[in-house]
Amino acid sequence: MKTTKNDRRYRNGHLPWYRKKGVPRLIVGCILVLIVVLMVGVSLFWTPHSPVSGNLADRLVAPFHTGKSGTFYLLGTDPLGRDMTSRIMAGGQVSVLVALLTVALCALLSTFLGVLSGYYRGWVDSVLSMICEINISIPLFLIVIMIIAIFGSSVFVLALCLALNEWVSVFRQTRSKAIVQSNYEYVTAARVMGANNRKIIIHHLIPNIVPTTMVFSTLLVGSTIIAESGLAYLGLGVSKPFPTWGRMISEGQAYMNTEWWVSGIPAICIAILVLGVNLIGDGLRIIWRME
Amino acid sequence: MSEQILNARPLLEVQDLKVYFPVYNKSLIRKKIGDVKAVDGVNLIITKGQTFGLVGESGCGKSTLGRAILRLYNETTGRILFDGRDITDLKGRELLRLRRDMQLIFQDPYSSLDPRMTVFDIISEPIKLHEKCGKEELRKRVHELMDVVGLPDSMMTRRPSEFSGGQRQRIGIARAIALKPKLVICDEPVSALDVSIQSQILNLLADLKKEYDLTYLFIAHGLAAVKHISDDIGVMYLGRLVEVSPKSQLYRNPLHPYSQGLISAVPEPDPDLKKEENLLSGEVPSPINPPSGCPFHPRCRFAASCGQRCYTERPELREAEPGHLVACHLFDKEA
Repeated sequence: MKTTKNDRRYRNGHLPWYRKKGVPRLIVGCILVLIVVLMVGVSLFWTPHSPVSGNLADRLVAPFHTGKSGTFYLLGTDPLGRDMTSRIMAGGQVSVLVALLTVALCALLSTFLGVLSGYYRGWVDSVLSMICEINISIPLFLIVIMIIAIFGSSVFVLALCLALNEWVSVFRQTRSKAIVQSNYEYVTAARVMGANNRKIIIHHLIPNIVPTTMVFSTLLVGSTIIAESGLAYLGLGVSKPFPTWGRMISEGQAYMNTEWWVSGIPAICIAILVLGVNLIGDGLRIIWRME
Repeated sequence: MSEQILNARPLLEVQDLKVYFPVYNKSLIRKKIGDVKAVDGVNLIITKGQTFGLVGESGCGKSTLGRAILRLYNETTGRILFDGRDITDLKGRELLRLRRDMQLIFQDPYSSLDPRMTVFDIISEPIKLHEKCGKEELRKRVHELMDVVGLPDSMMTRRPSEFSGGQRQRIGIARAIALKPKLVICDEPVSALDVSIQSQILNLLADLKKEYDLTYLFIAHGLAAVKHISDDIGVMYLGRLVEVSPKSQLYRNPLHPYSQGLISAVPEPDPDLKKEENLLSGEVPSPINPPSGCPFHPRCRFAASCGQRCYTERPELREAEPGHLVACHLFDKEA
């Protein structure tokens, strides 16, 4: 047995954390996400050019080229002569914010309801499961379109709509995990010791369910960003002229054959973020040894 | 020992305890179609300082009985008296206070410890639930408890996944005795362990009993483990007690045919010893539809020769010898 000084490092699987399977994924994922987040973060204070107004003389300049006005554009310009670099940086704000909000909402909602459902069972479980099945059987995209048409499309409404669309998949996982955990004897032990339902849920069930929630929520980030892009593509995203990645793709589709970068570059950005977050989720899943 | 029983007052008295779990059909509209009669009218007295062994096949309701005494089921009827007080309907704060005095040691040392907690968290949990206790004092008490159950101090910050079954069971025992309870219900505490570890844990339980003045209700599925630790033994069959007797009498002279079968099933280490053939055959009947009359009659070797009563009349637990109770028509003197 190792010395007690190093115990912390050899705990859980008896491997130092950096040698565990899944850690490379986690690191690569973190780097990708960090790049995107840094880029978006910087755009809050500074962008190379204005993301909303452009120079019509420099329409559709290719990446790494200089426009007619003599300005160099790292990622080219769009059909209105706006700098793609600035638009990508600023457009990420909405995409990332919506994705994070949605996933946070999903995680909170599904942990809470999943624990209630899995611990109390009975009618609570029946009602929640029924709501889930209704939720799945109706194409929610239509309802989302309706909600946005009524309430307009602020970041929060968008996040709420998307969360409504996606919480079921996490809820099912947390519920089944809660059922399994509730049947373990340590819950009985807590009850024998005198813990009430609230204490059992807070001290025992939730800590055992949080890893599941985290993994499945991170896996949702990808589909959320894609769904947001889809809404933006349909013109239902956050209002113009402020760019989002999804709307940039939709605006560039007319130029796809000749000027690929107008919709290609935001698509690459979405791909990088989705890949990064999925790698994080996958890495955590492997490290925590979950199915 | 019988003298001791006469002098000591009962710590736990169970009167006609029944635990029926309702069974529903599986259609959309739920309809009750019967009861699982897990515990079906048990009378039991455990005196202070005694170890009462409860034996029976799996599914006979012995664990349910233990947990019903701990007030873990709502489906309970009958009376449970603890320390002279009726605890059958305790609620809220009163029930919480009762929890201090009764604890449970689990069969499965793997699922009975929260995998996300450290040993310190696990052992200190009952103390935190019942007492306001400073951090230093808490640490000291956990340290003492770990010392008592034989766990080195350095393991305090580890998680259950790093321990062996025996060590985990020690953690569970430390947790159970943390509040110095009066009654500890041991729900097959050694049946999930290696034979070599079993005796260690049994010895630990025996030591703790002396040190903390505990009373045990010791549940086991075979007579071998109970023989070592019990004073009195109750044999359970299909939710009912069929024989209650001091240990020595039960092993020397088992009266109920079921107890005889259980004793004949204990493996003998001596190969030269001529062994009686296995006296038990068949399966335990369903507790949803227990047999009429004596629940043991379909498996009893005497039922055919004994007469009609075994098929129609349920035998009551009666004293056949001094201190030796049995529920069987063979020993019914009124017949």
